[in-house]
Amino acid sequence: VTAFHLIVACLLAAIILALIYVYKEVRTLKLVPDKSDLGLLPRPNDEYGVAMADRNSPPLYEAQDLPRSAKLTPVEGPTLVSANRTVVPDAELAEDYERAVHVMGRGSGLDDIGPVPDTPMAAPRLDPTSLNPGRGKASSDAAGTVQSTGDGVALIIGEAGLAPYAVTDLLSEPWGHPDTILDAGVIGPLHVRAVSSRGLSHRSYKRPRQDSYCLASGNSGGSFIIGVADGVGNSPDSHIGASIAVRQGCKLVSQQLLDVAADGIDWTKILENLSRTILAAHARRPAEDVASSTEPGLAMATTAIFAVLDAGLRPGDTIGVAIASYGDSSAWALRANRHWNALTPVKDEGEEITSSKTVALPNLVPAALAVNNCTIAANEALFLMSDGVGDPLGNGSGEVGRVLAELWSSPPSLFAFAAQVGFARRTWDDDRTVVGVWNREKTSK
Amino acid sequence: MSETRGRLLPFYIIVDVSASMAGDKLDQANQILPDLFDALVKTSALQDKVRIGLIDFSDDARVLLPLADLVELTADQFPELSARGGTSYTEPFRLLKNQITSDVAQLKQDGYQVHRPAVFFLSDGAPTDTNWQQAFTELTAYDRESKTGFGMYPNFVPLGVDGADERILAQLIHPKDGPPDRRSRMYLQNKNKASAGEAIREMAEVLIASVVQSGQNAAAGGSGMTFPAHDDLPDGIEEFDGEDWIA
Repeated sequence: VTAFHLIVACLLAAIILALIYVYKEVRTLKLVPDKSDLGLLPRPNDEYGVAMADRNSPPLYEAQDLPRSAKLTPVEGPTLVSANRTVVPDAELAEDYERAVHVMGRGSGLDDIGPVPDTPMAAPRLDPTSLNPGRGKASSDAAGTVQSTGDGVALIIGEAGLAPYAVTDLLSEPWGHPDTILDAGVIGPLHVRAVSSRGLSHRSYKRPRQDSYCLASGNSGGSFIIGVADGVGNSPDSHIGASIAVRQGCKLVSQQLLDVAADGIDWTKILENLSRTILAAHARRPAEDVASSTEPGLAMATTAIFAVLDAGLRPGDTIGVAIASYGDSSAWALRANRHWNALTPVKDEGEEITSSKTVALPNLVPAALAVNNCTIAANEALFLMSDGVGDPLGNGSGEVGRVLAELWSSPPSLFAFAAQVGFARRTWDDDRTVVGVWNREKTSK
Repeated sequence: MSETRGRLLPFYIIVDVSASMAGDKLDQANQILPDLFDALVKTSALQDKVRIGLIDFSDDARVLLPLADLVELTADQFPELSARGGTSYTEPFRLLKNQITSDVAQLKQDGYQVHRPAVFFLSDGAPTDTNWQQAFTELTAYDRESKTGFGMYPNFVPLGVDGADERILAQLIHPKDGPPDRRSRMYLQNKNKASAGEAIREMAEVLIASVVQSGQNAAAGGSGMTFPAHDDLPDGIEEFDGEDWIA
């Protein structure tokens, strides 16, 4: 009898403790709206639950920071209808959308932008049959089933093609990998915007985003560290490789900064460590999750690029940047004259036949490591990007370069930046990642 | 070039239309393009970047569909294969080399980058001509070091049914060696399990899966073309890579 009572008492105690725990959790739960539902998505006839940030302050206030009575009415401005969805942007976004509409309307760069009309511009119409007259006339029932995109097409550079409108897939396998991640904020004199977003190809094939980035600090906050990685190929695990590369890579850089300056970092040692870490992670994968034919060197293959910036200086100072690149992710400076300056080797386009081939971790080709110690002056900006943006950018002197240089001459708002990184351009459907750092002369508004 | 308009994946389908192909075999072959159209429409990300060309051959070779954006075609623009004459391999190899040269040049002039073309070559008999080996070498030989030969050489996938000579078709697998993900394949009818027409229908499935997966691979930074996994192969065909035939 006593043993039975003891067990019952223990069970009761456990239940009470569990209830207390759940109650605490519920109390501390913060109701934060889904960030994907802000800014870019339409909320016609509704109040915004969130204030959009201005260019110089952290971008996002959580809902509970606002007084309950605060009603933020949508700003009057150009209305962009994209596919069948209306976007009512805030003032900050409106500027960018005006440009987007212009680019759409004229099908060319920003050079020919005229004055902004007083009346809202005619919304670009998406008529699948006019885009593709042949659709539906051949043999297929599937033909003609063009749907609107999940989140509209905010910016088109040149010709959009069909895919930006037709790819509507939501999920990925494995589940639980966010389609898009984004960050924005200020560190020292530096204004940072970061976006990593799944390309149309991976959306269409229901694969997770294989790009990744990491933002970190070293040297007691005196250094700002950026890592960008682009998982390579068809391997089901390359998104894991990319994620390991940026996080472990930033950690290793931070550790070395305890002993050496940014230009003294031993990048070879870091690559070797990343290679071992990725191979070890692959070896730990449960056998049933790994295709038997997958070679360890390909399983989690990923490029990696890192930049270390002085973050301890005053606004207006020229900052030193150390860049190390392995594979085809690239680094660029946007100089004050809106000139794109490649800080890593630009892909050779002289070949008759193009190839997406790149060196990638965990395979080590020492000669492929490119290190560059350079500077970013006041009012210039640094960009690290995956080839999803770097390849269409080319050497920066074309249409894509002109449009992005214009849009990124100062730090855009977070969501505008995300929309811009996701620009539509025919056949360019790889994952898109850009981390932009603006060395602002003035930080005050 | 300062910037690229886009990046394209060209595929050429070459079909034997010698007299022996008449009937069910050509009926099935005629279904390849409409099926491929359906697959492209369903795979939204591919529509913008895949280009398909169709060549037939007998005593001569003809371009039935110049490299085209298939989803832009109307039904009456789909070409029809019909049987005629003998089986020359030399003619389609020479014609293909000329086509690739002019297609790539045109696309590059239009501002596109072009991935290495892939060729699916369907035959039901042995060649009736003798010079085909030289023509095939001119189409595929390339020395990366000295940059001599045909730099735009295609990845070549032979498909054989009925009286196709597997020893000869095996010589058309290109590239034959290199890392496993770069090697091409050959697909042959499994005569115990499928008729030639059924095998062609199943080869079309492999072809379509390969187009779809290669498109994904190219976007993700992979190299070469992609084939469906061995376990996913339909019953009526067998798969070989170059090394299966080295002896």
